[in-house]
Amino acid sequence: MRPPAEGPEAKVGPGLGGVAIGGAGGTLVRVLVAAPPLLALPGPTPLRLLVLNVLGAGLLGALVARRGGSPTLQRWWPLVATGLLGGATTFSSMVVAAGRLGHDLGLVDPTSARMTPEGLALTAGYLIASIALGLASFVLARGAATSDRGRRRARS
Amino acid sequence: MTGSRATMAALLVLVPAAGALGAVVRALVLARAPRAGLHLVNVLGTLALALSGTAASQAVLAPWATAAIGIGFAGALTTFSGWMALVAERAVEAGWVRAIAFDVALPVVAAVALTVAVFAGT
Repeated sequence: MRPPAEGPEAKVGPGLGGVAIGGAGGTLVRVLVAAPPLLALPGPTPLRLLVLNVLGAGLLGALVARRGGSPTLQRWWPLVATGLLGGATTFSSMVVAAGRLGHDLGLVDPTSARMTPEGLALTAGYLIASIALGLASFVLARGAATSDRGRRRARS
Repeated sequence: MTGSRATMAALLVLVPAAGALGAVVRALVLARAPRAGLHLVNVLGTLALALSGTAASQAVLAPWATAAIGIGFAGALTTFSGWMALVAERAVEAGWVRAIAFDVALPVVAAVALTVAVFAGT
C-alpha cells in the first residue's frame, strides 16, 4: 500500500480524517466477523480471521489495479484502502491466533507445558496458509481487475 | 447483563475508535517509511497485542481496555492487506525469494519470537 501523503491527490482527498473513518469502519467489520459472540458466523475465530484477511488482500489487489485510471479512487484511497481494508485486515491477531491454536486444541505436553510437534505444525500451517492464500488472492484479483479493465477499454 | 452490555458497547464503539487511531498512526509511519515502516508497525503491533493479552490474563487491564488496545489499536495499526501488496511489489523489484525471505519470513519470525517471549515471561 502506498502512503496517502504521496502524489498530488493527497491534498484534495479525505487524508488522515479518511484514514480514521475507514480505520474505525474496518475495525468494526473485523470485530463483527472475528470476535466470537457477535454474529452467528460459522467456523472458529482463527478461520474467520483468515478468510477476512484473504478477502481483504484480494479487494486491495483489485483496487490497486484500478487505482491508476481512477482519480476518484485515488482521492478516496486513504479512506477505502489505508483505512477500511488496512483496518479490517490484521497482522497482529493472525500471529497471536496462530500461536494459540495448539493451546486451544489441547496440543500441549502435560509434563513440560510446551506445545507438541502437532501444535507447532498447526501454528506454522496457519501462518503459511494465511500468507499463501493472501498473496494468491492479492495477485489474482489484481490480475483479474487489470485484464478486465484492458478488455473494457479495447471494447470501447 | 450490564457487564455484557458494557462489553458490547466497548466492542462496537470503543474498539473501532481505537482502531481509527491505530490506522492513523500506521498511515503516518508509512508516509515516512513505506517498507520498513510497515514491518515496524506489524511487529510492534503484535507485541502490543501480546502484552495487552497478558495484562488481561493477570487482571491488570479491564476487558474493555484490553479489547481497545489489542483488537482496536494494535489490530488496525497492523495490516495484512497492505503487507500482501508490499510483498507482491517487492517480488517484482527483487524477486520472490528475497521478498519471501526479507518481507515475509523475517517479520513473521520477529513477531512470533516476541509473542513467545511475552507469553513465556508470564
